[in-house]
Formats: sequence, C-alpha cells, structure tokens
Amino acid sequence: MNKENILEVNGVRKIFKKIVGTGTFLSLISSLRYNKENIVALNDVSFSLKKGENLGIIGKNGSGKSTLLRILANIYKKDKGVIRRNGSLTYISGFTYGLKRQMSVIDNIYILGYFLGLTRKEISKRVFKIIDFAELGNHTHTPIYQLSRGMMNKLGFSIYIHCISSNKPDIILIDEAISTGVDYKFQKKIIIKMRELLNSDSSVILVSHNLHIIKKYCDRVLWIEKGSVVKIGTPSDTVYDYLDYLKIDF
Amino acid sequence: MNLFCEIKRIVSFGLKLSIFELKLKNEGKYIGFFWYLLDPLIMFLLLYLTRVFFIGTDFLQYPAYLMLGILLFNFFSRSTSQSLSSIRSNAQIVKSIRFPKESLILSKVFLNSFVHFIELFLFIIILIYFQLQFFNVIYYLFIFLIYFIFTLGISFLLSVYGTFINDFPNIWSVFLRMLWLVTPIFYVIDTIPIGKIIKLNILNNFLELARNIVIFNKYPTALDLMVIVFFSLNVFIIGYIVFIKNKESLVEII
Repeated sequence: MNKENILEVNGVRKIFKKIVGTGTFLSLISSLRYNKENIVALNDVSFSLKKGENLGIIGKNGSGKSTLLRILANIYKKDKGVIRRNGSLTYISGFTYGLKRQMSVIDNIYILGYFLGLTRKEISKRVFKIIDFAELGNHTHTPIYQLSRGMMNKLGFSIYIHCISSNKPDIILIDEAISTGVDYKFQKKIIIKMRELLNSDSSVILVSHNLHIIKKYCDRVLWIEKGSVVKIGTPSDTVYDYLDYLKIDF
Repeated sequence: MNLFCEIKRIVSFGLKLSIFELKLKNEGKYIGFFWYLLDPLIMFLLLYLTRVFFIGTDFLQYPAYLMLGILLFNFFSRSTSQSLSSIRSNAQIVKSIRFPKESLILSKVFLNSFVHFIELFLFIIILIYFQLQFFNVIYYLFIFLIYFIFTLGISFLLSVYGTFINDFPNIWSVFLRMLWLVTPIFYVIDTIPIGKIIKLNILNNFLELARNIVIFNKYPTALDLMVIVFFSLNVFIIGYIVFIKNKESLVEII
C-alpha cells in the first residue's frame, strides 16, 4: 500500500441476486428454478484516497454510490477485488435512522450513541452539547414523536456529528447526509460543522447530489455510472463532464 | 483476548438495547409492569379453573406445576417470535451503521428474560399460597441458564430464516400453537395416551427438569444434566454459526 494513501480500492465488484416477488415461498421456489438473473451493482471499481483528502462521489440514482460506501464500511460484502485500509472508519447515512419515536430526546441520544459504539460515560460527556447544538433544551424528556420532522433531523444530526467527530476517525464516509430539511439558521450550523469535519485531518468520502457542495469542499471527484467508474479527476472537470452527460446547465 | 472483548461488547450492547426496549414497552402505559403479570395470571386462572371444574386436581402441587409450565413456554414463544423479525424491523439502522447484529437477537432474549423474572413473582406467590417449598427456586437459575442458551440458539436460527423468507413468521406462529398443545403445560405427560411421543419434545425435558427440582425436590442425575447441557450448547452453536455465515447476506435483502 502506498504510504500516502489511507484507502486503496482495487477491482471491486458487487453483484446482487435479482429478487422476484417479495421473499415468499413462491418466489423462493421460482428463484431456485428460473431466476438466474443478477444485477451488477459495482464493476471493477478502483480508486485511492490520500490522508486528509476529501473525495466526492457523484452519479445518478442507482449508479452504485451507496453500495460502494456500504462495502467500504463493511456493511455489504464484496464479491471480488481488494480493499486496503490504514485507519479507523465511520459511515454516516441519514441522520434520523435509529431514532425511536416513543422515546425521549435524552434516551434517543443514549441509544444512538450505543449504536455508534460509544460507552455510557462517553455519551454522558456529550449529552448537553448534543441537546444544545440541536436547540432542544426545553425538550430533553419529550418523546420525539411530539417533535416536528425538522427538530428530529436536528437531533439526529447533532447526535451523529458529536459522537463521530469526538472519536476522530481517520476516514469518514458521508452518504447523502447533508440536506436534512431543517431551517435556514440550522443549515448554516450544519455547513459550519461539516466544514470543520472536511477541514479536519480525517479523510472524507462524500456522496451527494448537491454539486455545489461537491465542487466547494472536495479535492477530487469520482463519477460512477451503472456501477463503473466513468471519471476521476478535479471537481470542476468531473462535475462539468457529468453535467454535460446529463445535458444540464450548472 | 480480542474474542473475549468482542463477546463482552455484543453482550453489553444486547443488554443495553433490552433495557431500552423494556422501557419502551412500558412507555405511556398506566399499569406498566403489571401487564406482564396479568397475562400469565389470566392464562393460569383459565387453565386451572377448567381443570378443577372438569377433571379435578389430582395432586397438591398442580397450581405450581401449571404456572411454571406457562412461564417457561411463554419465554420460549416470545423470545423466538420476536427474534424472527428483529433484523427486518431494524432494517434502516442495520443498513446504515456497522454494529454487532447479534446484539439485536440477544436483546430480545434478554428482554424476555427480564419479563420472565418479573413473572416468576407469580410463581413464588403460588408456592407460598399453597404452602409449598420455595427454597429450590435458587436452583432454577441454573436450569434457566441452560434454557436461555437453547432459546438463544433457536432465536439466531430463526432470525436468519425469518429475514430470508417472509412467510416464516406465519409458519412459526402456527408451529408454536401446535407446540403449545404437545408440551405438557396444563396436563401431566403420563396421563395421556401419546405421552411417549410427547416425551420427544425437547421443551418437555426442560419443563420436567425445572419442575422436578423446584416443585418436587427431585434432583436430576449427572447424566441427565450433561445430556441437556450438551444438547443446548449444540443448538446454540449451530444457530450462531448459521447466523454468522448469513449475517452479511441478510443486510443485502432487507
């Protein structure tokens, strides 16, 4: 592994078996006899990530961006290829995932903190920062079903960002997790926090459809289409070619 | 050392999840924990009164015999049914955070263990009310530990098939109804014609062991104990291996 790199991905391939029906016995039997169809989600994907680098990933829906991140995060297993990593890794995808609607704000902080691998002591240290950042000081013991969607998003973002950034992972994978449907003031706070994250020593892989953010904060951009790498290069070049392919003006 | 740390992490996370789930289950309920007592109590009264009125009680310890049967069966039934859907019902978080998925299944079995120990108060009350010895309840902990390991093994196995096959919860629900009938919960195995066949039911062995020790002061032989421990450990190991081999594939189909 090259000393400059923190992550190297070589020839990664991922195939999903096409599921007919909804997982019933009938579909199981038919899949044994008739269904030999596969979906190639990733085909020979190779790239590297340098220490401290921010890499953006762009591509249409279903192009394989999220699958790639899930493979890097060890949530999915790859069918072929080699991944070499030299450091700790954290994956962020959707800030409200894991929140329990019947539980209070404080209980949700603890439960999501546990899912993110923190101990009770580590979570306790961050509780007030999380509540303060999410602007939920008056709702500490309120069940979150009583909060608005935007407030839930604020809470989720605050939990993730405080639990992850304090652990200082070497690689952070962010999957479509920036536009979270919150008010303008909080959007500014999110951008400041994300900027801190992107300017930190950690290397970041950012999947987003927001090309402005990709262009502004990424050092290089990888464009994926139908599971294959189309281009990897500077943000302006890659985004320009991508928009040209989509026939859209920026 | 690493394996020990990993096991500690899985167990500790499973325990924390189960405590939150217990809290979640009682959230907003007026009589909270009493629901856990009410359910087996009503079942006990129905079965006990039916027997008293139609057949009559043939032995003094029958109320304790019946209650312990209900509680042990409920533990198995609830733990396995809840584990079946534990991966699917946590689909979003399973796909977005890397954490030990074993803890999801473990949390269900832990949760039902807590409920079981709450329900055991009913059993102790019955022992006291009918002036039966209750000192042997202490040995019950050991029997329950073996039963816990057995149930956990089945739960791991079911969580895999319950995720792969959508029909599985329905199949298991029907199976549990049949299992309830062929498990000597409210009847005595020697008094029915197909007793020998029912003895093949593994749950019968657990029930018999627990009842003999706690209610009838009969202690099992070392061989009996070894057989049931060996069997339970094997079920656990098979269930866990099946789970480990499939846990990454499960994430891809939910």
